Amino acid sequence: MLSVKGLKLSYGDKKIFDGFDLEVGDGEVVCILGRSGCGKTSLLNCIAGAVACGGEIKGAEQGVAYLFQEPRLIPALTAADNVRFAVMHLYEDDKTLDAEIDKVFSSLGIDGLQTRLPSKMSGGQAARVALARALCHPSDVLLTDEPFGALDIAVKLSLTEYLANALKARPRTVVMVSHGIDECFDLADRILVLGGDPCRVSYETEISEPRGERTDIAHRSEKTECIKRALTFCG
Amino acid sequence: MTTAGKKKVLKRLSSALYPLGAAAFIIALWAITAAAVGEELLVPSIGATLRGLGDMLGEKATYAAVGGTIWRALAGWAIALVAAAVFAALAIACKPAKKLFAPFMSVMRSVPTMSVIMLALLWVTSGQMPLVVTFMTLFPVQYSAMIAASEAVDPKLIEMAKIYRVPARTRVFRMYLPCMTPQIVEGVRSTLSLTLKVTIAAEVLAQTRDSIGAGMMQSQSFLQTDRILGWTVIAIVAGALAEAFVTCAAWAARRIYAVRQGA
Repeated sequence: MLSVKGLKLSYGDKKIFDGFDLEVGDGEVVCILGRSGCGKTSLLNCIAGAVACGGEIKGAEQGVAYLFQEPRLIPALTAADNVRFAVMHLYEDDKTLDAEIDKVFSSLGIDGLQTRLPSKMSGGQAARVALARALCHPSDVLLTDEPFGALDIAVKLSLTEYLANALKARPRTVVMVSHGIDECFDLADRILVLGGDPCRVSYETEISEPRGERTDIAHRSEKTECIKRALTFCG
Repeated sequence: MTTAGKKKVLKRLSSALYPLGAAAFIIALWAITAAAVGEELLVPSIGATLRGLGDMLGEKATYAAVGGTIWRALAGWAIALVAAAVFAALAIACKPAKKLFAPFMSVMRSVPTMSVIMLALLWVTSGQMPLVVTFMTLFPVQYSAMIAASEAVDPKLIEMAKIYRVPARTRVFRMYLPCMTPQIVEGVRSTLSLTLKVTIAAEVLAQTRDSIGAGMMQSQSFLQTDRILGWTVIAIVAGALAEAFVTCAAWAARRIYAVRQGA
């Protein structure tokens, strides 16, 4: 379980979090919505240990896999080397890692891209390599910060579907920041709307239907309206 | 040949015309100036200079001088490069060290080369002096080039490495160095022409044995203007050769690095 208790974070005089709590169960996917600048990315950075913050974070001690808004690939390294760079210290031997990289690249449809440099990749290919990097990370915790936001709709849908299948095949505890309500309904078990100053959970809803079998359109529309209202009023 | 091929050849030919045109302009200007002045002692003609250069190329001492100068220039440049790399690594790894080095580098950059030469004349031998002066002049420039290259590494990549808890060694060899290398090579290579200028200036004043600087000084003492220009031509060619050598070394280093990375 991933647990955040009494989180405190300030940038100068501005308090972002002042006693924020969050619990995410094993294998649960929590989607976080909120206005720009409300603290969604800061929350992920606190969990990942990228920023110094107060409070107690449990469940991420062994490190986390992280999908950033941009692919963040090292320009001088090939696609496979970019993945190796991030995770090679977590594997016992190169052979196991190379086999894992080949498997993930193949399942993502980018087999043959291993030796290509980021400058020779399309936006969609770079996003796939970044996803491969996160999925090759052995951690059970995955944080995603709207990673497919800049991609065209076809690539976005394909990668969202891939991620949903990957999470089905190997469940991970996921905290995903998103701006797309539909994306949340496709992937999440629970949706949180953040807002306020300092940041708090303004609205929370659970999706009872299993992922991949959500056909109750009326129920979904009703919840979407609630989320939209929360986003409008939470400030 | 296809139309595209023809176009490519024509493009290459036209791009080669620019340096050839510039060289022709300089030679024409030289010929006109020499004819207008009409005094070989002040502005020797192209023919007299080529004759002087031919004589020099027939002397063993010339090759010893060129070898000695290139050796001192490259040694000073390389020592400055290694020292700059060590100090830059310390500065990148430790912010207080960077702040501590900043005033020293600022002073070293501002000290006039002549002051360094005059002091070095008192402190070291004439053989060591060009090396010391070259080092003192180049060290802060190369250090700054390396710091600028490190600051050019994308902070988002640094954050990614931090979040993925990548070990320091992997970060240095697989992120910092590959990202910094092109900028460092460019910055450091651009100091090569400065190296030869500084080394020769120091040799002139130190009267270093087996050096282009001493040869120039000697030619000036005997009013052999054609030989001074001959030495200048040799210095320009030596600079080009040194730059070619470093470019080849950098290319070889990149290839070896790429092979080791399995690219």
